[in-house]
Amino acid sequence: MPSKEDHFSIIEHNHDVLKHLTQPVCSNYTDWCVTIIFYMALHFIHAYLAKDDNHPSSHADLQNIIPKDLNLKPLYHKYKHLADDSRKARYDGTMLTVYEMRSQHLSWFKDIQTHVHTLVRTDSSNKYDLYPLFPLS
Amino acid sequence: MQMLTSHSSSDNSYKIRSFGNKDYTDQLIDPFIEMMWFQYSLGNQMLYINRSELSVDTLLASIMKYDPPNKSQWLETNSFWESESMILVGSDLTQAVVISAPRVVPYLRYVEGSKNLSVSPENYYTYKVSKFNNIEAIVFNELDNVKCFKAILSKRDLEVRDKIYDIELEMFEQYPDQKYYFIVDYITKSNELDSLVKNKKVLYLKPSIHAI
Repeated sequence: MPSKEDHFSIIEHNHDVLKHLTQPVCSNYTDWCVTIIFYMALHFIHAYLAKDDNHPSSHADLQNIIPKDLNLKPLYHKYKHLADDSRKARYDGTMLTVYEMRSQHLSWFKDIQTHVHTLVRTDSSNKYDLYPLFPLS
Repeated sequence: MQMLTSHSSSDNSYKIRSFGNKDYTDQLIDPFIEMMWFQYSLGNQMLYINRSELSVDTLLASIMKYDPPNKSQWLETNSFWESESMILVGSDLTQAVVISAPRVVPYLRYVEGSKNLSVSPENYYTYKVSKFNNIEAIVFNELDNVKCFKAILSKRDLEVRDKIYDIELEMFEQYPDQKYYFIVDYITKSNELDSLVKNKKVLYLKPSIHAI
């Protein structure tokens, strides 16, 4: 099963894909950007769970773990917002504006990232700053 | 609405009458319907709960526990009906229907929180979520012992989504032994709702109003 480090490697890989998709115009693929950001957040949560050898195998499994873990429960709303918008993007191709992404999805992701870094005690408090990838212009 | 038949409780502390009109009778006794909401012209709401989940005695006992004013009115037959709060049993004695005026709702909220009142997760979720703005429908299915709920909104509404997520967290607390999968979706095209509810168990569908 993936270790905490494995999940961080996946996050790095997803970030590379996100950088690719947001060039030259960040608004062209907001459906997939929302999905990638959701999966980056998901792998942060998985990284926290992996330290206790906990490896949920489905979205349903993870959804049932988060509310019952006192450390993860504060992330439930932000995680659900990302999950529901990602699902809408994947199944219906729903696009969002860059403004919405900056004010909502990047904020939710940042909070999840910061919170998990606190839990797993890594040195980088905000390793992935996604805002430069979605400039308002 | 018309009064149809009367039944008496075993201890004679209250009488229960079945209630309905020609339009609703079949739905009242339909054993497959667990919950429905009807908006009457007077603004009263009817909550329909399957009798197997709700004991009328338990409901009354739960209300009495909070020492409501005019307690005797809840137990006396005639004034019970006149208080605009009624507990009704369907003619086949399988369903209990509670009609509540707004002033009774605080007591029903206490009842909802009562550990003595057994309400299914489906009813709990539907009762709570259907009251929010922009809710078009709630659909449900169960797969591999996972109860899957999907709330369908008329638009992407983050404020309502946050409220629904609050209810989802309540579900995990109220029914800790149950496993769930929650989705909140929204409509982006006309006629999309039909495809979203088709072949699904519909727990709630926003009633439409047709001008005459």
